[in-house]
Amino acid sequence: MTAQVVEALVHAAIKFAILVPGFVLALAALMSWIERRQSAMIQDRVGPNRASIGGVRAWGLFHIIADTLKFALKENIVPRGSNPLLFRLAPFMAMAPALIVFAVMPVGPTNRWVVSNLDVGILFIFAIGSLSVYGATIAGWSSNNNFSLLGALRVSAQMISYEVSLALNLVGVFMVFGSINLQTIIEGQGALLGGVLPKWGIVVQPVAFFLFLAASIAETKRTPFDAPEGEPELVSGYFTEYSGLALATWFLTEFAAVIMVAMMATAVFFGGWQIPWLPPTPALVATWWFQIACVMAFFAKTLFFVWVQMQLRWTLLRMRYDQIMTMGWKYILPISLANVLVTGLFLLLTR
Amino acid sequence: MSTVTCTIDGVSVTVEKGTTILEAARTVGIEVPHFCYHPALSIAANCRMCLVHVEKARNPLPACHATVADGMVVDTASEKTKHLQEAVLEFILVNHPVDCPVCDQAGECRLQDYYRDYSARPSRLDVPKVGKPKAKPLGPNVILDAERCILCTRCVRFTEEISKDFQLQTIGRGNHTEIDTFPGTEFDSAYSLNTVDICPVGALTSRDFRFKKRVWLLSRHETVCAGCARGCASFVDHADNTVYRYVPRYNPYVNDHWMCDAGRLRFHELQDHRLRSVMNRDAKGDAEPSVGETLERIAEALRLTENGRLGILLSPSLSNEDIYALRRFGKEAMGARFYVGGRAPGDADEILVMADKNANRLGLETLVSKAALKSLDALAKDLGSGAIDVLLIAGEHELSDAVIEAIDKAAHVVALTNLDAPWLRAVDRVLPTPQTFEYDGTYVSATGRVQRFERGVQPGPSVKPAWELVCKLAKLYGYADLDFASVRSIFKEISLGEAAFRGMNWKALRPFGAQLAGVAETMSPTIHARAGKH
Amino acid sequence: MKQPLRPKSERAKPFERREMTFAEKLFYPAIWEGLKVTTKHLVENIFGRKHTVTLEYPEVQRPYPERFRGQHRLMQRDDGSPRCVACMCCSTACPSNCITIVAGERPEETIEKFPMRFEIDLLKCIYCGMCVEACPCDAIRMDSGVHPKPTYNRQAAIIDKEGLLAAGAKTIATQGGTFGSRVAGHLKKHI
Ligand code: SF4
Ligand code: SF4
Ligand code: SF4
Ligand code: SF4
Ligand code: FES
Repeated sequence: MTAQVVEALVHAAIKFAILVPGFVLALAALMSWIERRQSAMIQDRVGPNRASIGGVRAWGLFHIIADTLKFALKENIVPRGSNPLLFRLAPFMAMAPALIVFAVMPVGPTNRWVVSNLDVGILFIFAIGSLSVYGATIAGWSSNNNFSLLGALRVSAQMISYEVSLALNLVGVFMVFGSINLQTIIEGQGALLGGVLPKWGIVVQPVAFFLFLAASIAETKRTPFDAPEGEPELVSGYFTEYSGLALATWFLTEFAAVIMVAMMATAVFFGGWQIPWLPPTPALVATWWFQIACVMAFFAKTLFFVWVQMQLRWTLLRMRYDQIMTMGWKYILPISLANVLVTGLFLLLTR
Repeated sequence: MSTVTCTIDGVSVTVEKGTTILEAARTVGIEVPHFCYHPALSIAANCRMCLVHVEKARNPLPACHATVADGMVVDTASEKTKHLQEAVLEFILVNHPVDCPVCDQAGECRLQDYYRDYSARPSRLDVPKVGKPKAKPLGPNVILDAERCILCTRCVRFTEEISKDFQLQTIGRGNHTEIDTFPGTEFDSAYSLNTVDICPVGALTSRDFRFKKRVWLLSRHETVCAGCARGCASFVDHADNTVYRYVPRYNPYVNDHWMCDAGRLRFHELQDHRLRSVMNRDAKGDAEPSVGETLERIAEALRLTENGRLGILLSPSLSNEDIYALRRFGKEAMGARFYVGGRAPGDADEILVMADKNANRLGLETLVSKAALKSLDALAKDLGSGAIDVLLIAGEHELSDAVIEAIDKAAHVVALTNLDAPWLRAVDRVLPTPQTFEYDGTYVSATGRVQRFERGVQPGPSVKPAWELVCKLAKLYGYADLDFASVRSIFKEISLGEAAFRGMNWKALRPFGAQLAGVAETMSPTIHARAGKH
Repeated sequence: MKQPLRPKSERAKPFERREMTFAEKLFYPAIWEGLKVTTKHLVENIFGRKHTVTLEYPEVQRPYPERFRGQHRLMQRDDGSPRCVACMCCSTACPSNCITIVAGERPEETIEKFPMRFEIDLLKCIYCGMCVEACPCDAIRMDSGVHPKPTYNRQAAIIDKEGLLAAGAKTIATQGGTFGSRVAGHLKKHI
């Protein structure tokens, strides 16, 4: 019994270590470069391309290293009058939940490819994910800065508002697939509708997908929902006072959240690791190359959604804070409710 | 006196008989260009700049010299006259170096102005100009650039008619005529700098002001020279909060167009030896004590002083408003005894300089009656006998060692003064007050002329006029009646309450001031000298 | 002062606001349009830099315009002393008040005034060239073509007389000009 537990824990730890630092954090670091180069290209600029090692520029990829070094070498300033303990703790309070949620994400067809295949998978993500609002709020409050505090207030209000819609949007999917276990949902999307169309979440729940995308971007506090950072009015929102590696932590957290949203969209609406028109028969699943192909498919879809979010960020304008709130409570929430209702009725009638 | 009527540029002008065309034109606002004419000097009519055409006259006439006659038709602005003016300017410029960039007169030069207004043509000259000495010191204060001289002889006539020391003359002939002193003498007249003012070009420049500042960068404020009891009306020219020169201001009742060199240059002393900071004998540390806290201490000491045991040593160099505020506070709140000190007397002459070197003795004696003002000897005696506990010294004083020693003995000595002086060592607290060119006020000259002066430069932050300090002190002391917000309000009260000042109006003190009641109106001595001339 | 009311035809027209249609309120179509634009730029800039406008500075340099003047310099007389006579015309003309001149006297010379200090604060200077226009002595010129360099402190951006003179050269212009003799013939008929 104990040996089993220990073995399971060790396995989980190894998988987590491969997934999170190996994929998520690496991608997050890369995103700091992608974000700037992509925005530059969108805006007809060139973007950072100067960092070089021995004259090799590699499209500015070394900026990632340069930035990390720079962040590491800067002073970690703790403002006077702040609460130093909470101020230092806050980035980690936001970072930890943002990383823990990856534990239940199945990136491949068998249990081998998920750190912990929880039956309450999605609920776990919501439960843990919503904890990161504390990090942001505490960061703003402990900074002893009015701008930070305003940013923190906006964060807390915005994240709590959109969490409701976010969860409601997924309810329709749960109803269709009859489970909240992510692996079960993904497996459910392997079927073909009428023999041609993959039964992906987006196909069965199109409305929910678009609302989910909006709500989840609001959860990550990125444009057009980045009022909590709102540079023109709030300097930098709740992390105004952060510097050095603490500031880098905030960026990593944000990028991790972006990846999480991309993975959720992939898993719930885009068939997860499913390869379209290649149903995972048990025989296929048993082969290692199929498993690898599935994992690749999952990451490819994830990368696509990461790209979509970046593209959105550099396409849209920031919304006013009241517009964000109106949108959340007056449009997304009622429409999601209606969506759940219609789905329920449909299921009832077609049973 | 009979009058004549003539027409100048189509305007009919009626003037006294014997008036020159130039002066007649001035009465209707027509300006005839001129170099050698000066209203306070005799007419030389040698520059020919003022040539005008007169109908029926064969030749053009010099307007500064020709007198108007009945029915005369003068033309000062037609093409014909313009041609005359152009030609005269061209002649004057034949040997003029036109080194305006290095010339101190540039900006206030008549030749520059007239060239722009009446000629503005390029030179046709292609022969070398006649060279003459440049930058040749004529005396301690004046330097000559003979090339720039247009030989108007204003300077020569000044030394003959006003300063009467005949120090300048023209030497040489024709192109080579120059202004110079007699061999072996130098131009050391006490009024030499006036020639710099009247020289229409940059031939005579002030050695003191030379190259210090371009004149167009100067700001100008009306002031009164506090060098002696004459109180010459003058302008203070300043820039960057620094005084650069004093220039006389025309006032026929006081100084005419002139002022003495010593008075002009006195601002150096006032500027270099002025007090800037509050001093407190019992202050601790290096920080300068504030005006407010020092006044607080003084008020404390005054509250402990019995009525009649405060002495106030007044200077006849204080402004009327300072004296009035001090008198009211001293008399009404403290029952103080008043003493008079001031600057020691010096030399005098028949022109402007007076022996009394205090600008406002008459004002002091009018506002605090002469009988109430006790001498410095009386002060020393009162200090010795312990009749006064607190001594307040206001204004500029030159005190003998005996008096300083006596002051040293007083329990508490406070000074509101502007200049560093030996007697300050006997003083416990010093509050700096502004110089004449740093605040607003009025003086009464020895001839009874009440004149206004205004602030030119800003004194430092701790420098406050004596009246303001006294008003603040009165408030801290607990005497609320003395509550003036401005010099104007004090002067208004003086003009309402003091018989000699009755009816005077602050604004109407410009430009020539007002005459003190009971003192006969006199004209400037230089005007007496000129009466009946021409 | 109160402005007189303009005729109606010239007045600004109030913007007519209209309710958004349902399709517009959805935003998704608009977002889609936006994404199309940005994606187009992204793709075209990645493959071929079609729209990229950035000049990559040290490698690529924009040519200076023909009339670029550059930093000031002080011209010299034959003996190497400044032609400047400290007349203050330039500092008076300077709209940004960045020229500081302290005049001195050279008793032994014919031109007795000279600048003891002559400093230009390049941080204040707006490179308008008024000083050059104003100079009666061809003493200050802006024809060096030297771009002002960035400095580590403000003091270093003030160039003094020595620095200005070092950039200068001797000039053959005659002090006072030769205008008179050159145009005399032309003027004869005018006078
Ligand atoms: S006197 Fe007048 S015209 Fe002659 S050099 Fe001086 S400023 Fe110029
Ligand atoms: S020095 Fe001046 S005042 Fe004297 S004659 Fe010459 S120009 Fe006239
Ligand atoms: S270029 Fe213009 S701003 Fe610069 S020093 Fe000359 S006048 Fe002044
Ligand atoms: S304008 Fe020319 S001569 Fe005059 S101060 Fe300036 S540089 Fe010197
Ligand atoms: S002013 Fe009349 S001749 Fe000089």
